Amino acid sequence: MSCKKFVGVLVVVVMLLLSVYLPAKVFLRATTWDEAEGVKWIKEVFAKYEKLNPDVKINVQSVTQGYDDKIITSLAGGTPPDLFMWWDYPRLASLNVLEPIENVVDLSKIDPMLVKWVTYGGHVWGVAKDWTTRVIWYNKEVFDKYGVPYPTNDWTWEEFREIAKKLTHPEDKVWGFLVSPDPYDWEGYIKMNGGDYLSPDASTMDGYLNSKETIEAVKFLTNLYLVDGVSPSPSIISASGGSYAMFESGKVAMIDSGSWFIGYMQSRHPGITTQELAKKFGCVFPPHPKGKEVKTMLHNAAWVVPKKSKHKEEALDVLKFLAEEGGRTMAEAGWALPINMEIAKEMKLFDDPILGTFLEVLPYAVEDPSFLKRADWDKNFAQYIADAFDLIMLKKATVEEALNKAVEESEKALKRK
Amino acid sequence: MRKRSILARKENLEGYLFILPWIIGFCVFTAGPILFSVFLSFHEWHIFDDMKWIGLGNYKMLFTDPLFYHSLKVTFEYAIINVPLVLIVGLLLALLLYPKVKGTSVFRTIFYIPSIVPVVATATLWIWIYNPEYGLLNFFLEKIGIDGPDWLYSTEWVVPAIAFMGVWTVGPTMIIYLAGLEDIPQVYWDAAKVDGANYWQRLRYITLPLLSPTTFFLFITNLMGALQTFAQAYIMGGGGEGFGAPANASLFYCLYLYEQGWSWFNMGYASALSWILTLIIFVLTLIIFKTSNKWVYYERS
Repeated sequence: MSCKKFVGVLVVVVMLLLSVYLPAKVFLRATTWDEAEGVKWIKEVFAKYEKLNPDVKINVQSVTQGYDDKIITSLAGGTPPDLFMWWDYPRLASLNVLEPIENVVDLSKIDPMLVKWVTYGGHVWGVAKDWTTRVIWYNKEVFDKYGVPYPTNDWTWEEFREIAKKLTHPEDKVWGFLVSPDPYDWEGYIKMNGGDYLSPDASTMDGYLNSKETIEAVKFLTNLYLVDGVSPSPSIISASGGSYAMFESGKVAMIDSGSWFIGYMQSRHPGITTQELAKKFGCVFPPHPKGKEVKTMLHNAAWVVPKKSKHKEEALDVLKFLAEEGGRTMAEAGWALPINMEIAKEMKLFDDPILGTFLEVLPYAVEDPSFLKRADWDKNFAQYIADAFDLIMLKKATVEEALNKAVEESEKALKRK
Repeated sequence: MRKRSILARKENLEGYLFILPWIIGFCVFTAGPILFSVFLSFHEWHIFDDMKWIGLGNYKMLFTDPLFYHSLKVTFEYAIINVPLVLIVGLLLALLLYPKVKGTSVFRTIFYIPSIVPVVATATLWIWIYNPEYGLLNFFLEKIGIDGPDWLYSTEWVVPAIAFMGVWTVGPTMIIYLAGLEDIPQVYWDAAKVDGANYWQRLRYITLPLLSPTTFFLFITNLMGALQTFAQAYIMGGGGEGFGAPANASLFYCLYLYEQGWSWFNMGYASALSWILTLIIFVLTLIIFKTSNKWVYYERS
């Protein structure tokens, strides 16, 4: 045997031995809709997991276009990612493609509200990653310019309306508030007025969407645009670069939004801190009807594991780790709010001039959002509410007419199937 | 003789071999799915569950679905405005660009260019043109004293607005009309000229009748295209608000079909919708064919 041959055989033997004795690496696929900066922090978190579990490698895939369709086709095709970001849990849970996690993952450290918002049909479907409550952002420069005092967390609808009017100055092309109808975003206002979309048993909208309280809330919101004229029209908003651009430049004094505005500002001014942000902008609770308690909506995206994951055990183990980690890495990076409130307290985030509001209002989040009550929420209910809002804003129908029509159409749709 | 036929057979075989990749692609990616959708339309299927045979259930449900009628109405409203407009503008451009003068080919190219811009880009551009505050269209309308509407965010104007935009992509229609014009022998016009016919008479009695087969072809293809409109509506409805915005006013048939399939996962119902559309297009084409002998003149007859 020549020397060369010997070396060759040796290499092959060593490799064979290695492949038998070294544990094979498991490659997990994780899919997110996050873009560059968000992906960076996801990788950072996963790197910590990989350090603890050297035999697992997590590949992060970012899908920014047609996310839902891609996830659904991959689920249907039986080749889903091992874990992925999701928010509309009933839609997938009702199709029986997600793995319930409450018996595997210790959820005790995650804020109970965040767990509630990933629960459907008695099961928990994911570990929250990004969440935000909805607050009112205000541009301090506009308030200063027109000599209006900054709002406080305890403001009422009437006070809000007066302030919005005072801030509206058509001659300067400045509006007080940006009204953008959306069934999801407005649910908090409807609930805090004692109204609702769905009946408690979730069987109908009749008597709820068209109830006195709901009508009153929708009137309050749409009249800001229709009667008071404190909001720019949808085409002005889109032509002006969207709501954030208008808000940042002071064309709109207040917007109802989540913490995404922070990300928007960070992408435009890299490295900007919330302290710096607070010099120009402020956040307060949404206003509430006099004598009633404030409610807000929550946007809660979570990591979920599909039933057909090729490495389900490992993927669930990653979720365990994420629940334990509590969102610390991303919170420390200033990218997202932690999901464990102990971490928020430890980091003194409640004292943060911007983030504090998001955390403080969390206990006031709606307890039973409609989209978590029915898997067919969008199809048989929400789309008709959205149409009704459109008709009201276009002055094609009164609030009563439009909401009654939505109830009627939803009832018809329910009967058809 | 025998030798030739072997050669012919061999050539035949080679021919088939050459188009084999296309045939395979066609069967797998086109014919297969088409046949599958026929099968699907008789089932209830939501992608993840088992298919359930429901016979004509989907087709029956369709006739009680108000959005089916509504989306059909929207689509026809679009076609009624868009198709004649595109044919007329295409013909006018072709007539203008037909005479052989210096620079004709440059103009032909210029008028064709918008047609090669992807529809997504065109639609995005036109969202701006239609903007009521900053848009070009309302700017010019204001100059002549008209207060233009909020085009894409108005239930009355959103469909006409999308239909008017079709003029932007009139290129292919224009080119086919030009080819039609080239086919008309010059002697006809010369003879008519000698007989004292003016331009309009020549247009009316020679050009238009001789172009009628071209018009016939363009009418059918443009109508088929119009009834299948999707991308423009998907992008422009409500100025980019999404499906059918505002308040379903721009819910084109194909948008509704897509929504049923991909938002609500009613694959069977969506397939039934698509076959009804195919049927409607088929019947319309048949009607146009049947009436064509009244207005289409072929030179040989």
